[in-house]
Amino acid sequence: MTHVHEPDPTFLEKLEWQLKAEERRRRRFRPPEPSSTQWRNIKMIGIVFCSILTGMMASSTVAHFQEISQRQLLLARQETQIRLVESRLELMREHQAELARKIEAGLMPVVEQESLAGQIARLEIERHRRQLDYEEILLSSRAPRDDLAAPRVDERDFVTERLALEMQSLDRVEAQVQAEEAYLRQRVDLGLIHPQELAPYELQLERLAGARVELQRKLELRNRYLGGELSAEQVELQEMLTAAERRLATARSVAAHLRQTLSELEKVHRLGLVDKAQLRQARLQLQDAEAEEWLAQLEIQSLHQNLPQ
Amino acid sequence: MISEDELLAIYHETVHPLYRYVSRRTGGRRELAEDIVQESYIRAWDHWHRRPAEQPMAWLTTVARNLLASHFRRLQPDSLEQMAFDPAAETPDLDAPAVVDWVQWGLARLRKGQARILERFYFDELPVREIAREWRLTERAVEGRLRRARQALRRQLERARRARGGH
Repeated sequence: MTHVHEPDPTFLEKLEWQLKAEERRRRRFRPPEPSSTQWRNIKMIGIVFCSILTGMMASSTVAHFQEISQRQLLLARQETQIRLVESRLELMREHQAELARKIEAGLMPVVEQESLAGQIARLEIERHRRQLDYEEILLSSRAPRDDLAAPRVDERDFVTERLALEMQSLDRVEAQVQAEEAYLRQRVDLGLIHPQELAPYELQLERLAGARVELQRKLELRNRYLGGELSAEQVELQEMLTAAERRLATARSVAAHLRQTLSELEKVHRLGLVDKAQLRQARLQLQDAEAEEWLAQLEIQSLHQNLPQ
Repeated sequence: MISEDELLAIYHETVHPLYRYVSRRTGGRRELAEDIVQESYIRAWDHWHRRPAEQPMAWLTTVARNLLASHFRRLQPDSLEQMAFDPAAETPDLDAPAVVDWVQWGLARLRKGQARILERFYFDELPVREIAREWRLTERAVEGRLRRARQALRRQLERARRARGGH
């Protein structure tokens, strides 16, 4: 029998296999390693000589091979990422089955299962997103482009597809936070916990609402750009403005939350229950949030000056 | 560039001590320990391909420690078992997984320095003299820090117990 703090041999075998497989994939797509200085010099002379001889034709051939090698590297990187996400998903599903058994036996609370289901759903969305990136590289031979002014690739609008996925992920996270908040609210109503425990959840929901507005705005801008209503420059400025507005809203809600926390801490400090260091830390956090708010405001002003009237 | 043989040699050399390190800190819970160990190696593999693997064991334990802290930081007190031990006790019984959960839950909410010193004392069972040598402090200073860290941990645990409606 394995000692409690010793690893299980099956686990070690599986982990070693996983690491070896990862290593093989990495090496298969790695660019060739530089050889010794002497050989490198000889090769360099050869390359220079050939380049002079073949002139423009040679340079175009090199560019072509570079493009192929770049494409292979990008694809290999995406493949590795997809496999990593898949192996994490596989482990989480195994864990989910085990958890279900424990919940059935009454050893774990049901809320654990909801949280794990949320994590699995988010990983599935991540896998989908990696797959989209892979497909874009296949079609374009270039790194995927996320900016709103990116062109369609082979009639496909990868930017909108990715934004739609982000929206799905956001929905999932929001549902999970709402469920956790509702559960805590019941406990607050029953007087089991302090209402202050709800504050981080409320703050997170506010942030998620801000992220939703930003995503909707991005989708709208993308449509207007593809419809020829906005130029690439206008879209870029509008995108920056949307991001700055979101940062401002987040900084405002964080600052409001910190002000409330600080006022609670000051009360407790007067009773001698909190030391000065904690109080100072809360003040510094508030100053940070206020500085962030001020910077976002400045950025918005500056962007408005550059936007066409 | 690090070779496959070198990477596997590091793996064979470190996997047992790393697992023991993580397992002690998860109260011997296999699934959690295996997840943390696996994630640590995946991150290490990626890192060592970009930078040389200097002091691999130190690197792996730092990653594992951060992963553990973020796992326990995410846990809500309601998801843990009843706190069936005295948070004011000198040394908690770390053979009981439920006690380990609570101690880790509290450590994940302390300042880094306080969490580190308690971790060395509780989980690695280092004596005060050894911690003093490692941290280049006097034994008295270590004792003072341990006392303050224990008080901070106790405050965290008592707050959690009150939130659960315990006494």
